[in-house]
Amino acid sequence: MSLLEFCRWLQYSGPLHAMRDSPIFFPIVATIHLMGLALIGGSVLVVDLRMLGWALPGQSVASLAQDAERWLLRGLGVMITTGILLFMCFATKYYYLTFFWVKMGALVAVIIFTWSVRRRVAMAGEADVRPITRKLVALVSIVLWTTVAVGGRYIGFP
Amino acid sequence: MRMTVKLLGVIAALGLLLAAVPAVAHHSFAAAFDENHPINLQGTVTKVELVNPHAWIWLDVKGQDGTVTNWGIEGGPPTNLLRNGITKTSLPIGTEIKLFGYQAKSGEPKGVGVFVEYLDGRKVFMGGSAPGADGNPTPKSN
Amino acid sequence: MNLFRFFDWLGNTSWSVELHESRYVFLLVLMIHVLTISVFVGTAVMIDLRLMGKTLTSVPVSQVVTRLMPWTEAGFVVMVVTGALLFYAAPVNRYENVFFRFKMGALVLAAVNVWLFRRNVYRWVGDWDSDPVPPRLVRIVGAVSLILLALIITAGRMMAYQDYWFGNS
Repeated sequence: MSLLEFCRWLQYSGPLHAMRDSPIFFPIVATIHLMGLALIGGSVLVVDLRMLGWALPGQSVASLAQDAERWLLRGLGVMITTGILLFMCFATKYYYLTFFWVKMGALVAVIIFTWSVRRRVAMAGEADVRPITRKLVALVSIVLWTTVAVGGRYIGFP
Repeated sequence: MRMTVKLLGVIAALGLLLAAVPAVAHHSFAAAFDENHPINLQGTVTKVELVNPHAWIWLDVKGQDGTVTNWGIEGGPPTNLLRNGITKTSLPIGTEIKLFGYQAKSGEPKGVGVFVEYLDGRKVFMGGSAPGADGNPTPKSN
Repeated sequence: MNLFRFFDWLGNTSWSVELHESRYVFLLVLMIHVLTISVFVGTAVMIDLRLMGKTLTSVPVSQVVTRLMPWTEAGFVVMVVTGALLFYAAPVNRYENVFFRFKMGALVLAAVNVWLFRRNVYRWVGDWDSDPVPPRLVRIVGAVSLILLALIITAGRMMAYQDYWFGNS
């Protein structure tokens, strides 16, 4: 079965097809998807802004990162779940959209980056990491997340 | 006391909020199209709205019994239509065109458009949410 | 002062028409508006969660408020500017959109909530600044804020479906 055929199956005979036929399904799922965006945005920014030195300077990066991680995971859970449901509504259309694959690539990249490099840099002791390193990591994080988000908007354009 | 005032204020405001919602709600189109109801229209253009986020093409279609129905067909945003070759001047009022799309679930004379077909056979895709509107092969539905 | 007539006139000004029919500008403004949710609502959510004692509990409330709110405010400015432009693209359509009215109502309530908080509750922050879980009234303010923000996002997204819920527009 090719990828396109899998998308076709997902969209037209996959699970929840009857539910997705309801006209309110997509709007509700899309709305919850946006709430996940806020959760991810806030939990990512608290740490990245701190690493850039632009917010909460009095707090240690490590403790902020520790607190925020729980909410980042929840936000990701919401966005990935709703994202899969949204994808199932338009699977074959997204298959052909370059920006969909760009978004997926950036999402995989940012997840890997966040839980390897960024985590290590954030949790490191104040004396063990240079401010410039923290700033670069925060920048990469923001650029990757922005790519995911912009890709998402491009998909959203009918 | 302060808490009560605050609470009353919140209730009053919520009341105002709900007042903005009309008492009668009835279902209509917008994005709720039926993939099992493809439509093949032929008619004359009465209005072209090349607006964001969705363009609309309106055409008068004469039924078998002679009655004329004005259909509204939704497409993608102007950026998609312009890229595919539909401009404000390429569909002047009165042009006879064919249009393929899917009808609204509500049964109204509205739908999402897949492509516009000029009488000379030229097809232009409407780039909206309809399957195939992006010009790619339409998947077979169950 | 007939609002409908004013908005009708506004919608016929050349810039409004140009924006409404634009190839890229409208979509760019819309994209910025939606993505800025991550900054405006994102930071507001973190502040509200702190007020509810659900995150950053080792950070004094006053620190969370004074250090994060500037970003919430900056995000808010972007939302209002882009929002005004989106309104201006089709004033009558927005004015008549039920979800838009609901959204504006919720936004006003959210602002009132913030104002009341700063004026009456936050003044005593010294009493509970370091508490991981603030007093009940503070937690309520946080919860109300979160609910209103959720309603604002919902109403905004649902604006596209006005026709489905409320008939022709």
